[in-house]
Order: sequence, then structure tokens, then C-alpha cells
Amino acid sequence: MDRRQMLIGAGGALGLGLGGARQALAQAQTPIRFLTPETDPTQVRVWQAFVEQYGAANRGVAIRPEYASWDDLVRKVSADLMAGAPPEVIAGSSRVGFVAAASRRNLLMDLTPVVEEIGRADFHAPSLAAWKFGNVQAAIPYGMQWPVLWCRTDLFGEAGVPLPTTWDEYRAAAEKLTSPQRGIFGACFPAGRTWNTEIQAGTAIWQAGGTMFDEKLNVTLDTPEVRRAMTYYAEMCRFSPPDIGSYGFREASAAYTSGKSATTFYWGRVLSHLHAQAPELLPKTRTVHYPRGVKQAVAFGWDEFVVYRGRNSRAAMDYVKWMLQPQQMYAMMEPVIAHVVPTRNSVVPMLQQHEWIKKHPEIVTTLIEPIDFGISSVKESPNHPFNFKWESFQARNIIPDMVQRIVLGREPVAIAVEKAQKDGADAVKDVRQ
Amino acid sequence: MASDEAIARAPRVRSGVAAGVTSRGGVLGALRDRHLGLVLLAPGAFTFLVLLVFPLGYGIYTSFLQRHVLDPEGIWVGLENYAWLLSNGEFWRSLMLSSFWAGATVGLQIILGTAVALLLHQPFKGRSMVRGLVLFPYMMPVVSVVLVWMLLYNALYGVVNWLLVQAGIIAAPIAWLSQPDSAFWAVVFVGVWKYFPFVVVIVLARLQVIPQDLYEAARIDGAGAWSRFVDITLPQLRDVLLVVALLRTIFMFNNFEIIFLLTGGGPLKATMTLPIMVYEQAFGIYELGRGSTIAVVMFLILIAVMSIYFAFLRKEDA
Repeated sequence: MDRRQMLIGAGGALGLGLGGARQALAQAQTPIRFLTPETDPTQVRVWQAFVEQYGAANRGVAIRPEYASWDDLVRKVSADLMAGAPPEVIAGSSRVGFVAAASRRNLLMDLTPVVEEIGRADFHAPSLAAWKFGNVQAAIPYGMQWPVLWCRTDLFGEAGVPLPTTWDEYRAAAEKLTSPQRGIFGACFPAGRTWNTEIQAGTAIWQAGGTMFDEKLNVTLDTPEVRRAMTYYAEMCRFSPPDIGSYGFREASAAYTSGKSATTFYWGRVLSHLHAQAPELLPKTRTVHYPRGVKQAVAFGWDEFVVYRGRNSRAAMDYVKWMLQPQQMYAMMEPVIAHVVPTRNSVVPMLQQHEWIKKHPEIVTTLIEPIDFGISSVKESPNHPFNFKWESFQARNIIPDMVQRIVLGREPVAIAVEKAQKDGADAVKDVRQ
Repeated sequence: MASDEAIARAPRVRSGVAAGVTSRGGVLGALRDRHLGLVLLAPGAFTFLVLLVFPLGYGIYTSFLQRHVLDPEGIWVGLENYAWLLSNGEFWRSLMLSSFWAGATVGLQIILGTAVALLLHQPFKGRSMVRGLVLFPYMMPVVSVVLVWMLLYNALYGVVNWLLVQAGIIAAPIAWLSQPDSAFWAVVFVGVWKYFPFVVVIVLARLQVIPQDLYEAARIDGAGAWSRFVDITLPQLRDVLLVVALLRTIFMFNNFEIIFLLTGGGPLKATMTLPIMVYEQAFGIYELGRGSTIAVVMFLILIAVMSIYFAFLRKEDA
């Protein structure tokens, strides 16, 4: 075979290969990329089971699950958007500001038809309303949630202090509970450049009577309330593990389940972590609502489905509708029971039948009984409009940076707060609705 | 006579080839032959354009845009991003940190790598096995390395703290990765540990080809071990160490994953090198134009370093 014949042969083979591939592609299934930060192993098993069940019932569709950490999720979505290929479905981003910005730019599907087909009356109306921007239902929340204070009752008993209901009580208890020699710390206030730090510090600001934005959406960090909140936060960091400077969600939960912290702020997920990693701590655990400052407040959030526009968005909406059916919704919640409260009324009774819910009322009551003091960062009071500037403010880590300057950099609170005010104002000065 | 025959035959051979081509494809065949080289080059050229020239050009173009992740088209702002960058204190701080990171890691890699290579050049029992083991950090995936070191550095349970406390060097455990004072050096240490085997391999290879006569002559002249190292080994290693230094500087200056996975650029931006800053701007703050601007400046800095490298190579060739 000479060179020419070999080239012709190779060209022919390539042509045949491409032709065959084209035929195979024509018969391929509709792929749906499904991205979620809900990555507990038990939760991942549920997502995988969904892929199999839905695939078996819908031969023409292939669900492709992808996973990311909570802190990296929006960055991953951003990179995918730049590449022109966002995932079709995202479950659990909880970033209202980012979703609102994406909706404003017409990047998301309007999920109103899904809500109507399922039955609007069965949904928790305020949760649906929180994700409706203009006339577009940009996301459908499937769970709502708020963090609580997880407490080791045995250690509180040893120290002779009650479970805290106020900042002063908590500060006194944390001091008594802290024993570096035993490797136990009374509190767990995160100070990493993370979302969890932002949520906990933001909550402290609300509890101190402050806000991050006023009703005209100007940054309001340089106030006596914020200074008071940050002073309290820095004090509590003294009673927290020494490596809080890198703490996000995972570390804050692990600090409690590993026995390192006698208390931690966290959502209901800790219950399943305790069952899996430290069942001996379950009888010694109780949750209480956040100790109050001048007022009671807590960060209120949701886990939600979002569908990005793309070739397979219609098929993706069908998949979302399927996941929102009661059996599937319950299956999503079962591995991390009490982590979120379902937004569909018909699923709530199923949740209450779960063995752990029945067995641990002292843990789950604060997590599943409705509250009236939840606050969202994008709407800090009933008088605030939706804060379209929040996403820019949040993306620049204004709050975590302020916490780090105070806690790790030992900067005086007044100076750190003043700098955060300036940085925050700079971050949002060019943001237009 | 034989050469005369060969000369006489040569035109016939050439015309024979031409005749053969013509007979198979006529003018078309000749054209094909003429363009065969281009056809064969095309895949390589195409790959080069798609994988190198286009991304580079696109990155430079993006650096002239104000471009948000959710507004992919962007607005042309000319040199505004460059003006922002040059007046941005954080950029200069990150540039200094990047240079310091590259200098410290490369310097320590060379010192440690050369020392280990010298040890491994000596005959001892089990030398082959140790030579294999020393490559272990270099072969490990970065993610595994980072997880291992995060555990080693752990403030409460980490072996590093335990050893230092036991040895009486520190009184209480240190949160190595969470304190601005210690995070940078903790990250540098991991960078050195991960990549020093590269230096070991290169230096060891060079050590093995240094003529033994030089050492024997030095011994006869009464030179001690230190003198032999300074006067023979080091001059013989000079060229290879320079090349290693330049290559490692380029690699370490660009290194993203070790720092990002260990500290994410924190705490208090104590490890915010330029690659982390690019990521922060592009995907943290969604300012793709500004992220690209930093990337372009990094590219120019590395071009300068590479120019030194090629100048050095040219000098060596001459």
C-alpha cells in the first residue's frame, strides 16, 4: 500500500466513522444535565435512583447528574453560562439574588405552567412568591429552612448552665464550656471567607437590630447596631475552635458531630450526620432557636429547582414536575430529614411519619414548626423592596471579609465596619435594576 | 561510468514518477501532490489555531470588555480595565505575593531537590527503592496531596502540631491554614513538597554523567568533600539548575490548584496570588473582562520570563 492509497483508505474510514456516528447521534437520547450541591452520600443515592427511575419510564431522556459544593455552585454555573452550556436543571442553589439576575436576563424558563399543573393551592404561597420576579416563576422551592443552635446537653449539664436564649446567656455558657485542654469549644462561629460566615454574621446584625441595606437599598453597615453585632461575633469566636478562619458549612457541622464544639449553628442536616457518624451524641443533643440579641431573627432560605433555557429545557421542566410529585419530594427529604420543610402541603404529613421525627422531638421541633422571625437577605424587612443589589454585594464577600479583618486580622471593629461600608457601597454603586 | 549512468538515469526516474502520477490522476493528481503537504499540515495547524491562538486572542479581546457572566456580549471599554488594574492596590499585592510564592517554592525546591539528588547519587542498600519512593509526592494527584496536608495541618488533630508541641517548638497548636501569618508558608511548604522530586530527577540525571576523573583528580590534589562539591559538582550542575529554575518559575507562577484548594486565597487574602485573583474576578465577582485583563498581564510577565529562558538556550547553543 503506497502513501496515497493509505490516505484514501484513512479518509474513507473517517467518513464511514462520521456517518455512523451521525446516525448514532440521531438516535441518541435527550440529555438533561442536573446540577446540585446536595451531596451527602445518602442524598446522592436518591439522585441516582431518580436517574434510573425516570430513565426507565422515559427511554428518550438521559439525566446526567453533576455535583458541586455550596460555595462553588454559582461559580460553576457562571463558568457554564460563559461556555454557553448551563445545566438544564439546578436543585438547591438557594441564591435568590443570582436567580433573580438570571431571570431578568431571560436565561431561565418560566415555571408557572409546572406550578399550575401540580396545583398552586398545594404550595406554600409565600415561598412561591419569593421566587417570582415580575411575572416569571423563576424557580420552584421544594423546601424551606432556617438554622438553629445545636447543643450538647451533657456538657451544658456538666458546666451547670442552661441552654441559652439570649446573647448574654450564650456568651457566659460558651466561656464555661470552652476547654482547649479537652479539645472542646463552647461555640462555633465561622470566620472563613464563606457563605456560612456571611449567613451567621448577617443574622447577628439582624439580631442586633441592624440591616445590611436600608429601605432605599443603600448599604448600612457603619451603624452602632452592626458594630454591636460584630463585637459580639468576635467575642464568640474566642470560644470557637482555633481553625474557624477556614470554616464553611461542612466544617461547622463536623465541629459538632466530631465532639469538638459543644454548640454550633446549623440546619437540620446535622441530624442525619449524627445518625451516620456519631449516634452516641443523639441522646445528648437538643436544638434551640438562635439566642436573641435585641430581637429574634434567623436567616430564612429555600432549596429550589431552576431550569435554564436551552435545547432541552422542555424535557427538563417535565423532569422537575416529576421530582415535585409527593413520593419523589419525600424521597429527596428522607435522607436528610428535618433539614428542610416541604413546600407542598401534601408532603408534610409524610415527613411527620418519619421515625427520626417521631423519635427526636427535642431536636426536630425547632426545625419543622413554622417560625415568624425568618429574614431573607434580599428582603430584610416587610418595608424593604426586593434587593437587586444583593448579588453584587454578596459576590464580593463584603461580610466575610469584614469578619476576617476583625477575627483574624485583629482590626478594631469600628475600622473594619467602616471599611466594609466603603467596600459595600463601591460594590453596588453601578448596579442598576 | 557508473556515475554517468546514474546522472543519465535521473531525469528518466523523475519523469517516470511524473508519468505515473499523470496516468493516475492527470492534472488533478499533480495538484493533489502539490497540496499533499498542506493537507497533512492542516490538522496540526487547525489544532494550533483552535487550542492556542483562538483562546489567547479571545482572552485578549475580552480584556477590553466590561463583561458580566450573565451579559455575555459585553461592552467595549478600551483600556479601562488595564487602567483599573494598574491603579488597584490588590493587584500589586497579588503580583508581589505571586512573585514571592514562585521565588520561595522554586528556591526551596532546588535546594531540597539538589540535596536529595546528591544523597541518592551515593551508593547505599535499597537505593533503587528510595529513588522510586522519592517520586511519590510528584505522582500523587493534587487533590489527594491537599487533603492529606489539610489533615496534617489540622489545628486540633494534625500531626504537624502534635510533633511541634511534643518537641517543645510551639506551646499550643497553630491553625496553620487559618491564620494570615502562617497560611502563606504552610502553602509554600506543600508546594515545595509536591514538586521537589522534579528537581531530584533532573539533577540526578546530570550527576550521573559528570566524569568521575574530575573527582579523582581533585582527591589526588587533596580536595575535601566540600571543595569537590563547590568546585566540581556545582559548576557541572549550573546549566541544568538554571533551566530547572526557569521552568519551575513558569509553572509555579501559574500554579492555581494547590493554593485554591488549601486556602482559596485566604485568610485575609494572605495567599491571593494572581491566578486566584483571576478566578475571583471572573467567577466570584463575575467580572470577566477584568479577570481576562489580569490573565493577559500574567501572560506578558511569563513571556518575559520565557524570553530569558530562550535567550539562555540560544547562548548555550552558541
